[in-house]
Amino acid sequence: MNDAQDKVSAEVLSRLARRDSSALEQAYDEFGRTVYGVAYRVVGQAADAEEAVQDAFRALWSNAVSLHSRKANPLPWLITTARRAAIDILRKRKSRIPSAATIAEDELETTNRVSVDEPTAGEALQQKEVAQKVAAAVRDLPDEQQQIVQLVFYSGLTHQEVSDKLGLPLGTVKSRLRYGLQKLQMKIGEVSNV
Amino acid sequence: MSERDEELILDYVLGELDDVASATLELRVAQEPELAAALARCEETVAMGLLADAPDVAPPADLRSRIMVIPEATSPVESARPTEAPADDRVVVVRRFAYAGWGIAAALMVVATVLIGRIGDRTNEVDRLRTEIASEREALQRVGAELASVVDERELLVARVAQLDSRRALDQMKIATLSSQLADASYGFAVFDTKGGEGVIEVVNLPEIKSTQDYQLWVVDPQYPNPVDGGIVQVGSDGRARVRFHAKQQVDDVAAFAISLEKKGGVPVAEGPMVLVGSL
Repeated sequence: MNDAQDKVSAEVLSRLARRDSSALEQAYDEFGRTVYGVAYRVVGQAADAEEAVQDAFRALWSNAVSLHSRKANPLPWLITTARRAAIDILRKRKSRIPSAATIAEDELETTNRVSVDEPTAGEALQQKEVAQKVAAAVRDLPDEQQQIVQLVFYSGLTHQEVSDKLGLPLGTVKSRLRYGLQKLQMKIGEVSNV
Repeated sequence: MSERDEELILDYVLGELDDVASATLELRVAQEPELAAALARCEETVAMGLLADAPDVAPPADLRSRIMVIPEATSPVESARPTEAPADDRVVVVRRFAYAGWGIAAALMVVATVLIGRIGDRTNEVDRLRTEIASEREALQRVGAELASVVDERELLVARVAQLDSRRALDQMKIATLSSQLADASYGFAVFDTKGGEGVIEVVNLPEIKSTQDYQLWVVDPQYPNPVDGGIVQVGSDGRARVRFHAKQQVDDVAAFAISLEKKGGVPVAEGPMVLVGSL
């Protein structure tokens, strides 16, 4: 998420706030694939991921004014919103973390579909590099923090359920999660400044 | 930024807050730039963390067309019915996000309305109390003024009563000057209190009389056929006398005072010549 992307994001959000429907089209073209990947990571299947992405973009359209007023960055907001939508679907359908096999099957399915608006080679490379560095930062977290970050991000478990699952006090779960994210935030800052 | 706020923001981003807590935080975010910045940082961190582990898979082509109809599908009419029963679980999820903005806006409106209402109520209450206090103060001042007036009036009344009492006392006092009936230089005056039935008489230049005679005082009260006996007036060799006297009968009104020359020791009913007479 560099300065150029931030500028585009701000412009898109401004148009969305003015109820310019073409801005939604642009937002999808810019962020749709990324958001879809995150949703897919959570729910593990295409149909639910599509549903979560639709939910996220519907929310973007509905909340554009307030997001614009607080100068939110639409991509992080879309990603976290799509994750919540995916978690909701996951909880409703009593699903849990997708298996590697499920992902592989769906990946095969999606490659047979028509992909649209692929990012440019430069954008894809830059994004991939950032993602790799952040992934490395997540891996560098102490095990107990990494475990909690993974469970909270993808499992669909509430903090209380994570606490019960790991046999840890709720406060410990929350503090470990917070410390883990603080380290991640520092790492992201370093990556962004490079 | 407090640890509690950091925790709230993280819970919000991760969807751990309920609708009311979310709406409350959004209200604060709209008012607190520091909180808004912290929220943006948290969203970015969580998003990057998610991206780090997300597969790079392309969405189906028709998803784009479904996204494009969102502006038409999200009509104000739909948004105005957030409490309608959902058809299925998917609709619940869709509605939650589709109408989240409207829901939050509605929640903020409710919160704002309640707050404004409460502030308005407080303001009205304060205004009402101020008016009451001012009114009570005025009333107190009026009462004070009235009390002062009453005190003044009472004092005036007391003075008036004293004056009236004094006047009444004076009214009770019967005063008369007595003139000689013998064409000499004698004269006198008398003061009589009808209430007490006593008085004082003073005479000057009365002629010397025989030892078998006495000057006798009379009080003429119209209710009696004969003057009431006032007693003997002992006159000195200089023809002067100042005597305190008592009427022998109840005297309610005095028409005149008189001194007659009577035999020694006096008489019940005047027989001798009148020496001094004074009418009122």
